[in-house]
Amino acid sequence: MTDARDPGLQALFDAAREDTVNEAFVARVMADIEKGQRLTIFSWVIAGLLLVPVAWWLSTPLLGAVDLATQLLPDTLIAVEEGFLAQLLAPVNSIAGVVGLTFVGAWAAYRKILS
Amino acid sequence: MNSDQYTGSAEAPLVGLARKGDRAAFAELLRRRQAWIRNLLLRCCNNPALADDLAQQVFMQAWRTIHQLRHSGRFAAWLKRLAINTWLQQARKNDPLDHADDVEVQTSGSDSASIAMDLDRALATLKDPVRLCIVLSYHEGMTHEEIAEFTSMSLGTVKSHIRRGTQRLQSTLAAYQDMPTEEKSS
Repeated sequence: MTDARDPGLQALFDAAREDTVNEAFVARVMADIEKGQRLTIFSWVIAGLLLVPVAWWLSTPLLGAVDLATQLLPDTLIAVEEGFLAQLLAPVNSIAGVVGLTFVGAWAAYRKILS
Repeated sequence: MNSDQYTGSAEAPLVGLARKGDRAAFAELLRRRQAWIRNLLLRCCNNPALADDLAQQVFMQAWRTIHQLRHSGRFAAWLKRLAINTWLQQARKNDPLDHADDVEVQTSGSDSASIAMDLDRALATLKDPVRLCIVLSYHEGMTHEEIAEFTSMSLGTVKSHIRRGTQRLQSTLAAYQDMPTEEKSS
């Protein structure tokens, strides 16, 4: 069977087509769009207002965590005597290095799974 | 918002403006394309209220996602895809409808509204996938390959749906077969 269509049915489909602009429909859709935009702006404002006390409330523990992380991240994992080997291993011989390598590995695995 | 300023504009620049958030440009696109999308969905669902609701969903989604449209010239095809996807989602939600087995449509008249009503009643007797293929073929003028690509059905299934749907409509709308072509489209 080819793509040929029944001419009688085609004529009915063509005759049934309505091309007039339904202004009420247009107005309804545009009103909903404007309402949606207002709602989005309102949501952002509310989220912003909520964020301020939450940020204030969390600021002390967050700063403490950042401070702790700053102290812990450079800590060496394995004690290596000063010298060439210590300098070579320095980028990975720390908590920060392990965290970084873990992140890079996880990201590579994620990309491999997705591709 | 005043879309009158864009009345004579070509579609592609309007799409470009709408992508940047110009509501007046989108309103003009909506004015130009609403009849087409509402007709398409009405042929699919045979329910004017539902067709308008679905068309509204389509245009709302179009507004939200138009920034993702890369080629302004492909707006119509993109909008049609949104409409078909919206209809497919709606069709999946519904329980399988009981389609009438032996409906014979008597002609209500030769004006456009009566023909549309009879055609929609006849289309309602088809199962959803068959109806969709018929509408995309006759209403949208799409080829079988395009319909297969659009709906993710196999080409054989599309051909079979269109063959069976056409036979069914020919029999249901037999009263129109004797009518001269000019009278059908008057």
